Amino acid sequence: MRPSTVSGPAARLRAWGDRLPRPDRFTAPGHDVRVSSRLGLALGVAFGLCFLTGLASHLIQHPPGWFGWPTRPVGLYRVTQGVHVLSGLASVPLLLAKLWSVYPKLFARPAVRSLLHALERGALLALLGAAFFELATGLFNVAQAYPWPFFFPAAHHAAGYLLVGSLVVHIAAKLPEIRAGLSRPVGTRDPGDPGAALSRRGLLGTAGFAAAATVLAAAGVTVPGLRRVSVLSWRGSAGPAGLPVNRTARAAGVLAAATDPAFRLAIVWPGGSTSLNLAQLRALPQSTVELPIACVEGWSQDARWTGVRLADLLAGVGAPVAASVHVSSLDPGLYGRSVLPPAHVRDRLTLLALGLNGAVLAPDHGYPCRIIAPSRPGVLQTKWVSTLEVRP
Amino acid sequence: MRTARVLLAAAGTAVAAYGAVLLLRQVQPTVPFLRSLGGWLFAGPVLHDLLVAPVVGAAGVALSRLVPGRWRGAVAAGLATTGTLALVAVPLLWRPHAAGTNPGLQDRAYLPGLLVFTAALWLVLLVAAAVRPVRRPAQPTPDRLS
Repeated sequence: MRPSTVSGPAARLRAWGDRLPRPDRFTAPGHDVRVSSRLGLALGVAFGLCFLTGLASHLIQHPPGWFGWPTRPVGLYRVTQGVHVLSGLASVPLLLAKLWSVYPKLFARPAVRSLLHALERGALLALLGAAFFELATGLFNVAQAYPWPFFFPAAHHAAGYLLVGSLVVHIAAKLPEIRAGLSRPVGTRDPGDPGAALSRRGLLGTAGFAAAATVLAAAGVTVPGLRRVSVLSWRGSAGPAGLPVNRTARAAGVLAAATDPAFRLAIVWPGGSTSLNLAQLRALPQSTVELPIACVEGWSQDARWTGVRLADLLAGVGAPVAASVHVSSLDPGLYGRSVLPPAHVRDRLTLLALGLNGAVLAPDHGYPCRIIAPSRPGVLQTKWVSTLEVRP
Repeated sequence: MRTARVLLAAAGTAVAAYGAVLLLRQVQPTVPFLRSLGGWLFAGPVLHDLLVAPVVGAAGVALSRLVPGRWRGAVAAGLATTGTLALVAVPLLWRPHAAGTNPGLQDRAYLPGLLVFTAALWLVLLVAAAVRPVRRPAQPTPDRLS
C-alpha cells in the first residue's frame, strides 16, 4: 500500500474511488431485495418469452430434422412473434427499474471479494451487455435501420443464448436472496422515508405502468384494434390492397421479370416436370382463404388471398403431395427461397396466390404468384414464385 | 439448494458459452467491426451506470424536494414512462443506415403521435392522483394526544 500523499495515477484513482458513495448512502425505499426480486421475476418472464419465441422463429426458418411447426392455429406464428417483440418492449422499463433497484450494489467495496465473486460479476456483465444488445438491436431492426457491420439475425440469435445462459448463472448466484425477497410481502404501507420520490410499491407500480404504456404504444403492429392507438407502430396498413410490403419488386430487382408476359411457372418432381403460364394458372379452380401475413419483425395483418390450392396444383400435374416443396423466386437474393414442409404442402389453406383482397396481386406483393401458408413467417411466404420443386 | 445452484450455474455457463461461440464465429478481424460489436455489447451497461442511473437518482432527489407528496408518485411514473417511450422511439425517429422505405413502413409522423400519447398518459396519472384519497397513517396521532 502506498501512502495517500504519494501522487500518481493509482493513488488518484483510489482517491477518486474513495469519493464514490457507499451503498448505504442510497436511502430510497426502492433499493430493496423485495422490489428487485419482483422486478427480476417479471424481467425473467419477459426475457424467457423472448428467448422461446425467438428460438421458435429461428427453428422454423432453419429447421433441423426433428423439428416440426404446426399449421394450426393459422395465426400461431403471428402470436409467437407478436409476443416476441412486445415482451422485448416491456422489458425495457423493467430492466431499467431493476437496475435502479440494485444500483447501490455497484458501489460495494471491495469490488471483488473472491474468485467465485469475480466470476459472478463477470456473468453479470455478460448478462447486461447481452440484454442491452438484444433490446437495442431488436428495436433498430424493427425500424429497419442497421447501424452496425454484423448480420442482425445471426448476432441477435447468438446474443440470445448469451443472455439466457448468463441469466441462469445470475439466478444460481442470487437464489437465496431471490427466495428471501419474494417470500417477504412488499408491504401495504411504506412508512420508510416520507420524503422519498417513490415507495417500494410505487417503484413496482411505476415499472408496471411504464411497461404497459410501452406495449400499448407499439401493440398496434400486430393487434388489429390498436393500429391507431399505437403511435410507435413501425408498420401501418399502407401498401397495395391495404397490406404493407417488406420488400418491393423494384428493391428485389424483379419488376421486369415479374411483369413479363412470357412468364411461366415451373413445377419439378422426381421423375417429371411441367410449366404453366399465368392464363393456365387462372383457369384452374380458385380458392379464397383468410390468412394473416406475419413478419419476423413482429408486425402482422389479416388478408384475403385468392389462388390455386398448392396440393391441388401438384396433384393436377401428377406430382406427389406428401413431400417437401422447395420454392424458388425470380428474386435471386437471400430471401428468394423457402421450403414448405409436408404438413404445410398438404394443408387446404396453402395457396399459390394470384390475388389479394379482391384485386390481382400487385407486383410488390409477389405478382404473378406467391406462396401463402398458415402459421409461417412472412419471410418464408415467398413472392414472385418461379419454380416449385417437390423433393422427397 | 446447493446442488441445484451448482447445476443451474453449470447449465447457464454452457448455454452462455454456446452463445459466445456463435457470436465469435461471426467476428470479422477488422478494427471497425470489433469496435462496433464491442460498442453494441458494452455501451449499454456503461451508459446506464455512468449516465442513466445518476440522472434517475437526481430526478428522484429533485422530485422529493420540489413535488408535494400527493403528486409525487404520478410525476415519477410520468417521467419514467416518458423516458422509456423516448428511448424506445429513438430508432424510429433517427433511422441511421436505414433500408429503403417500403409501403407501410414508417408511414406516420412519430414525434407528434408520441407527444399526444405521452400527454394522454400524464393526464391519466394526474387525474388518478387527484381523485385518490390520501392515506395518512401517521395523522391520527395528534388527535389522540389532544
